[in-house]
This record gives sequence, C-alpha cells and structure tokens, in this order.
Amino acid sequence: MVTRTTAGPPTCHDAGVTSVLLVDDHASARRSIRALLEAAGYEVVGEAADGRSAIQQARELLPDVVVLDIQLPDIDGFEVAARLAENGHRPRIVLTSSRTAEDYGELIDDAPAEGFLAKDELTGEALEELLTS
Amino acid sequence: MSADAARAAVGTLVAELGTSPPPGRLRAALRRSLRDPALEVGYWLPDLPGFVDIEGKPFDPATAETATATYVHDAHGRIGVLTHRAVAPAEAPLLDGIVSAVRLVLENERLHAESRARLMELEQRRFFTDLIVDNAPVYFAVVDGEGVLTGGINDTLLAVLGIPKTENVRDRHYWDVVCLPEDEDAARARLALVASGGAARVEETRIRSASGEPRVVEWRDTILPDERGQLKWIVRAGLDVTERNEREHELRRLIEEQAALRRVAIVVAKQASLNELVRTVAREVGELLGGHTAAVVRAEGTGIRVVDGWAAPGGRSVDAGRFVELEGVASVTARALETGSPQRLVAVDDDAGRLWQSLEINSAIAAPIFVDGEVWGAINTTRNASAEPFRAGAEEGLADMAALVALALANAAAREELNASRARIVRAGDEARRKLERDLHDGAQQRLVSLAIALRLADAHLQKSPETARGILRAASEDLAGALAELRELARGLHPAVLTDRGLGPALQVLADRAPIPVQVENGLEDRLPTAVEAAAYYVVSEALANVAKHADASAAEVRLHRVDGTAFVEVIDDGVGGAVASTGSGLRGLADRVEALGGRLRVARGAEGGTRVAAEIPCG
Repeated sequence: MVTRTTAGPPTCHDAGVTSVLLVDDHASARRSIRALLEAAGYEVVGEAADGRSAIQQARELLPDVVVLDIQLPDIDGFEVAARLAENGHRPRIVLTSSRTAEDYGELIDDAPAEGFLAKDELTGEALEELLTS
Repeated sequence: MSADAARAAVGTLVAELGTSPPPGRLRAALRRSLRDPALEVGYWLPDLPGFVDIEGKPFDPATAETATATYVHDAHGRIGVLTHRAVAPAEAPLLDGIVSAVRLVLENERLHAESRARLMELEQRRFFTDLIVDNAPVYFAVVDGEGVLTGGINDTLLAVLGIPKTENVRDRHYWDVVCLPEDEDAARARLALVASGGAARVEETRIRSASGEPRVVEWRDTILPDERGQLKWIVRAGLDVTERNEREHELRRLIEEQAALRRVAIVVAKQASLNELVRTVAREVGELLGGHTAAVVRAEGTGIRVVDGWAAPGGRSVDAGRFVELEGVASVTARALETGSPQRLVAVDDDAGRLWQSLEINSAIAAPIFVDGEVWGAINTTRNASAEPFRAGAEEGLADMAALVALALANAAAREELNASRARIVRAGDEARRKLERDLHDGAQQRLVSLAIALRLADAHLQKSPETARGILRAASEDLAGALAELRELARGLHPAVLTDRGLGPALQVLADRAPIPVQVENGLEDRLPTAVEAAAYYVVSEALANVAKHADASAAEVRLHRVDGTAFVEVIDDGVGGAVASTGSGLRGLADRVEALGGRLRVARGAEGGTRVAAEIPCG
C-alpha cells in the first residue's frame, strides 16, 4: 500500500490512497498498467483512450495523478497536459510512452508534468519515486 | 568575124551601154553583140563567195544552159562570168574585146547585184527578227518620245493584252494600251524620264491582261536615236516575272515560316514556361502572317479562355485570362475547335460580318492545338479592317505552329507527370515508413511493453500469489507468440525473403499459394532478373492479387511471367467483374510509378474474356 506523500497534492479521495486516471490508446497497455498500479496500491479511478476523453474524465473524476500516454489518436499527451494545467483542479501528471524520453527531448521538460516514465520501466515504485522527488 | 568587125561590134556595145546603163542592159547588149539569146551574166560577190544574177539571186555558171563560161577579171580579181554558146575561134577576138569593154559596166552591175543581194539578206534577217520578236516569250513595245506606240508591240504582248494582231495600236499611247488605269500616270512619268535619259534601265510594273489578272513585268528600256543623235524610239523589252515573283514570294514566305518555326522550336526545346512559349508563338504568328492580334486560347466548356497573346501596334489588346463564350458566335476559333482543322473566315455582310466590323476586324484564321489526341485549344490571329483579309491558305501555316505548341504542352505534361510521379514515389516511401513505424509501435512494441509490465507484475505476485503470477505468465506467453507473428508478417511485408533468396518465380508462387482463390503461375523465366525489376514485378503481382481478392469477385486468376529481348513482361488476369483503373486506385498508381521509374509501363484493362488484366513491361536494364 502506498500512502500519499506530503509532497503530493490534496486529493478528493480517501486519505492514503492515490487515485489515478490512466490514459492510453492501447487497451492491452491500459490493462497491464492498471494491474501493475493496482498491485502497487494505487487506485485506478478511470481509463481514457484518447486526449479529449482524458480531459473530460479528469474534470469529472478529479484524480490525484494522470498517467498519460504521449501518443494518442486525437491530441497528444503534451496538449492534454497543457489543458489539464489550465484547469482549476490540477492533477499531477506523469507522461508515459512505449518510446523513450530521448524521442521527445525538451518537450518533456517543458510539459507541466512531474516527469516521464517509459512504459517498460513503469512500476509502482518508479511512479512513487517520481511523485515524491 | 574579122578584127574590124569585132572592133565595130565592141564600139557599138560601148556606145549602147555608156558608162552607167540601167541594170540588166548589159545582158541584153551582150546577147545582141554575140547573137546569143541564152547568154547570162553572173556577178561575183566575194563575200558569199559566189555568183549572183542581176536580181541578186545565186547564180551557178555550171548549171547555165549554155556551154561556155567566160570569166571576167579586173586588176583585183574575178568580177563576173558570162555564160554563152561556144564561140568559134574566129570569134575569140570579139569575145576578148567584149569582155574588155564590159568590164566597167559589169563592175557597176556587179555592185548593183551586190546591193540587191544584201537587201535580200537584210529582208531575210528582218523577217527572222520579226519572227523572233513576235514569238519570243518577251514583251516588246516601241514608243516615240511622246509615248505613242509608233513602233508597235509584238505579238506576245498583244496576246497577253488580248488585242487582235489586226488591230492597229501604232497611233495610241503606250499607257492606254498596256497599263492598268491606276498605273497610267506612273508610266507616263517613267517614259518621260527614260526619254530624258534619267531613268534606271530596269523597272518592274504591272500590265493589263486578257485574263483580268494583272501581270508583273520587268521592263528594260533602250533608247534608239535617229541619225542626228536625237531620241527616235524607246524600245521596251519586258520579261513577265509574275510566276517568278510568286515563286520567290512563296519561297520567302516559306523561309520566314521556317525561321519562325525554328525560333519557336528553340523556345520549346528550352522548356520555357507555358506563358513565355505562348507569348513567343503569338508574336511569331502575328508577325509571320501579318496579323494585328494573335492569341493562344484554351478550350473551356462552351467557350475559350485566353492563355496569352500579342497585339501589333494598332491591334486590339489581348487580355490574358479572359473567358470568351463561343456558343452561337460565328468564331473562327470555334470552327477550328469543332472541326479539328485550320480555318479562315473573312467578314462578309451578314450579322457575323457586322459584328466583326464593329470590332474592326476583317478576317481571322485559327488552328486547333491537339494534346494526346484531344483538342486542347487553338491559335488564332486577326486582321484589322484597314488591311487586306488573310490570303486563302494562310491558315495552313498556323497548323505547324499549333503542332509545336502541342509538343511543348505534351512535354510540359510529361514533365509534370514525371515530377508528380517522383513526388508520389517519395510520398509513398514516407507513408510506408510511417506505416511501418505505426505498425511496430501499435503492434509488437505495445505487446513487448505489455510483456515487460506483465513480467514485473508476475514478479511482484510471485511470492504472495504464485497462482496469479502463473496466470500472468501464461497470458504473457500468448502475447509473446502474438508479437512474434506480427513481426513475421511485418518483415514479410517489407521484402519477401523468398524473392531475395529464390527469385521471382518461386516468390510469385508463394503469393499464389496464399491467395484466397486458385491462382495459376506460368513462369517463362530461365534466369534471374535484376533486383529492382524482380521487386517491381513482385509488387505488381502482389497488389494485383490483393485487388483481385478485395474487389474482383473472381473465381480464379492467372499470373504470367516471361522475358522477351531484354524486357520482362508480367501479367495478372482474373475472371472477375473488371473495372479497375490504374490512375485512380492509389495502390495501382503507386505500382505504375514504380514500374515507370524503371522505364517500364503498367497497363490495366479489361481482359479478353472479361475480368481485369494488369500488365507490366519492365526493361531489364
């Protein structure tokens, strides 16, 4: 069980459980990541397969964290992050991709996100480390 | 006859003849003296040389009726001959005396005969000259200082003028008889100038003719003075140069036309822009044919759109880009577009003519421009009302120009198609790479990512929940098999290994085996083809069979492959519904590009027994 860290933003959910919105256009990836995060004690409160529904769900579900795939069929993850950052509720955003950070360069540094995790390196520990750093 | 008698006879003869008797008296006197009525006198003309009689006619002593010829000489030589009966020896002194006595008279008469002979010769010459003058293909007119045809005109000129030989023109003025009414003053001035000795010797003018069509004559004037050196006659000798001038004019026109065509051909060869070409063509056409405007137009719906043009000073300006409706308009361009042949129109007094007159145009010519066997547009040129209409046949000269424009357009279209084809090839390459990246990303990469996650998840569950971990690992194993299958499919799509390893025939057989309908492969190849040719042929068959499976509703297909003289032929024939077109489907278009990039050709047509036939011929380099 992973508790929310002091560095984390306030959440609307039960104390001690970090809520996650999972955004990825590949169902198999969503399935795997959900299992991985839930095994690590996160609560996956929603899934979105494209950028627009991701924004909509973030507004409705007010998750603590959005695990956001960069390559999406409509608008990309950077754009989704930018729009989420404009909202009153600003979830913490972790960008992810099956590509590596080098493929995106400074775009990741400039994005309003906690950081980037390649999907093959995505674990509960890695996510927690990123969120607490 | 005694010597006395002889002397007496000679004395009588001398008294009778005197020193200068009338011609012919000598013969009569001699006949009496020698009592020989057949005696003849011949006069020696050294110029002939030969004898003539008193009339100047040739006289041969050998053919005379009498037996004897007595030749008469003076100090300088022979002067005459007497032919007479043979004289008795007793009469010899008489003959000698007579010969001596008549020497002077004979010489006189000889001169007379010579004059006659010369006169006859002159008359013969004159007859000969008249014959030449009247029959030569040259016009002669002989006028006095006042321009009166006192010397007449020759038969050749009479015939051209349509004047009977019997008609007397000798008291009429030259210009009244020979010249066109509008040229009379000029002729009068010209003859006055010639008479004063101030004119150039050669002059070209027009004359009337019986046919009504004026003839063009090059005149040479020669002044004949009288014995006091004053002007007596002007002899005009004229060469009819009508046809020569027409030929020269035609030749000059041809040379100018060739030069203009050459200049346009250079612009075509330079691959100049369409606008530059059109402006050049319009200017050349206008200048060559003497038009006031010239334009290249493109057929568009029921009208034409002016591509560009040229206008001579005073010609109406040509507005590039202007659309002109042709429906119901008597337009030479409309006719050229309709008939597909060069046309010429001259304004006549009807509605169309009046329309033209309102535009101050009196004639126009146009020639169609064909590109790929279709009428693309036309070249036209017009003349202002102030000028003569275009001559008949002028429109034919436009056709060559139109052909050059067509060539340039075809070249430009070919270049455009080549560039488009290159762009499509580049786009197709980019698209293929994008698709490959997407396929890898969406397929194998996602599966591998999921696998990585699953393995970590399994690891996490391994201690606490081995069953869960096993389930995760099983699912992961299935995912891995799926990823491998996807990778294999992807690799096969990139380039078939069997094509590389075994060549086209076996590779096509693999395609045939995988097809959902029976496909028979007829492989006539004995050797491998160049790699690029093999690849192009493979993808032709691959795409064609894919199309057959997707669209043809066919029950079977056949693939034929053979090589003839350095060219590979590959065909895919199905028995389906037909209707495929190479230029529309992007797959077939991409194949055509690939084949054309190798210098080959792809054709898609209905098969001989229905269905579709896709055929590529590709040079093997």
